[in-house]
Amino acid sequence: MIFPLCKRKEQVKTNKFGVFFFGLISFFLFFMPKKLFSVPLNYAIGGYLGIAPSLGCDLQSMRQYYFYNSQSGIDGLNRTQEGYETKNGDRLLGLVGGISGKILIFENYQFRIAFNYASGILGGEGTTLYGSTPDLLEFRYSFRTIDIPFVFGIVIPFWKDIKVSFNCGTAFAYGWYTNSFTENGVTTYKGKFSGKAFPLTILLEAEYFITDKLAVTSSLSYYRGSSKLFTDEYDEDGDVDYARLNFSGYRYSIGVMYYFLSI
Amino acid sequence: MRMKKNIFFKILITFSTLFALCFIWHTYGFAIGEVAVGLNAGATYDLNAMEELASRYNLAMEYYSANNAGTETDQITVPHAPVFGLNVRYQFNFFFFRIGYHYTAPFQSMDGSITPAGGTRNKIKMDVFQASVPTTIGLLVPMGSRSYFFIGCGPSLHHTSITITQSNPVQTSPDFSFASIDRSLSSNKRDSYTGAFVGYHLMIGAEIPVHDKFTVSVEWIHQQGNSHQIENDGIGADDAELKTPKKSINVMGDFVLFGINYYIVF
Repeated sequence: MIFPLCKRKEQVKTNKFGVFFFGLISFFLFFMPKKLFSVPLNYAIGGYLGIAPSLGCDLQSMRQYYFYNSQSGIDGLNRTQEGYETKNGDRLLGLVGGISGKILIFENYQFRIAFNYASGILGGEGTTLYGSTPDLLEFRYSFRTIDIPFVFGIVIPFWKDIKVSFNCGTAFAYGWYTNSFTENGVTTYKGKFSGKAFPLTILLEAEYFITDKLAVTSSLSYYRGSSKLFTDEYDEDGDVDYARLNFSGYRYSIGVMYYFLSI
Repeated sequence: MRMKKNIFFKILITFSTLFALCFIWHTYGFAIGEVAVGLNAGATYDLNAMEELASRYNLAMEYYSANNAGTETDQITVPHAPVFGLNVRYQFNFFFFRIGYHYTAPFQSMDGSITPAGGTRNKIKMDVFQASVPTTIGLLVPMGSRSYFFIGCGPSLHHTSITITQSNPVQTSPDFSFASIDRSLSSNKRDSYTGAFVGYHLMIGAEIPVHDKFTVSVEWIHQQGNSHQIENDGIGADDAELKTPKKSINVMGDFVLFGINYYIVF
């Protein structure tokens, strides 16, 4: 047996969706006009930087849920009471950067693939209360992710030097999530999780051509999807936690795109 | 299954009537404007917002497993679901009015299991489907001949169902039930909620021509809505019929759709 039983089951599930997605793309390729395949293609590559608000979403884990009574992750963890010095913990604000490549067919269709890296840079730490006494709890989170979105879209030229495209597809996303909870400044429980998911991806992108081959881009992308629960990989605290990696959220980016053929 | 068929036929009849009205409206009501019919296919994720509930069951399984050595778990996965739909659209200058129908249910089963050490395997399965009739009023941004960006919103009529079944939800030796781990979870053999209600949606997309009368489109529909409190068509752990607890169904979700449209010339 190549895979353990549970992994084999997952493999079959993934393949079913893959077959469906492949079928869907084939369906639309079939409906494209035949002369499409004889027209020259255009290619473009580019890079961009941006922000990803609420990276990792609510960063929920089993420890928060059962031990600190927060059913909505970091959002439900914030508590305060007179006589205690607490600090509000916000969701993570992420910085995102990436490179992309695309094939334009007929100047109106495009297949776009990219490689993105996003990491939380602000938020994700605070001090709250837990238990009936209550006691102080310091918490800290981090979330990093790489993803490879694959989207198909429609490109519409607007005036003579602007192109706007709307794209939909899916992404392979892999993330790393860590959390740390210090109870009363004494005992610290740490969690470390990593894993993959395939979120749905939507991309709205506008390009302004400053030369006939170089464009400045601005894009808004939206991801929707999360993983199953992963086991805590950090063993030194003697505690086992479970968490899912949530890749849902918006990303705003600006960048440049170079076209190999003039528009 | 029979209920699903009945609903399907009801929606089909409604849709056909609306299509006929649209046809008559176009022919006799206006001299200008265009009517298009379209077929859509795509995908959605987290149908009927089940991800949060599935995650709670998964957390409960792992929490029980962490505290009871020898327990075996198989987590519930939340799959993508294919979406199939059709629509009729009337467009006039910069405006469009569209009525659509979408049906979606996951190809893959949403199931998992927990086997307490020395106990019996409790298989938990979630069956969901959603049929929606979104009615959209929106703006077209023309970019050329039948090339548009469009943005619209409007009410959606949803018919949805959630059924959660468990094979051995309450066990005494060893002591196990989901409700004893997390009070928000069920320990019934079946919890089933089916309802029709109105929510709303936002739609953004683009469309370009591939032929004189055919266009292809890409669109994103974000929908939100909560049903009223729906009675449970349930079966308890003791095989007694249940009407409680009442729950509402949340249909917040995103649909990614690719479409092919045909413009009818009268």
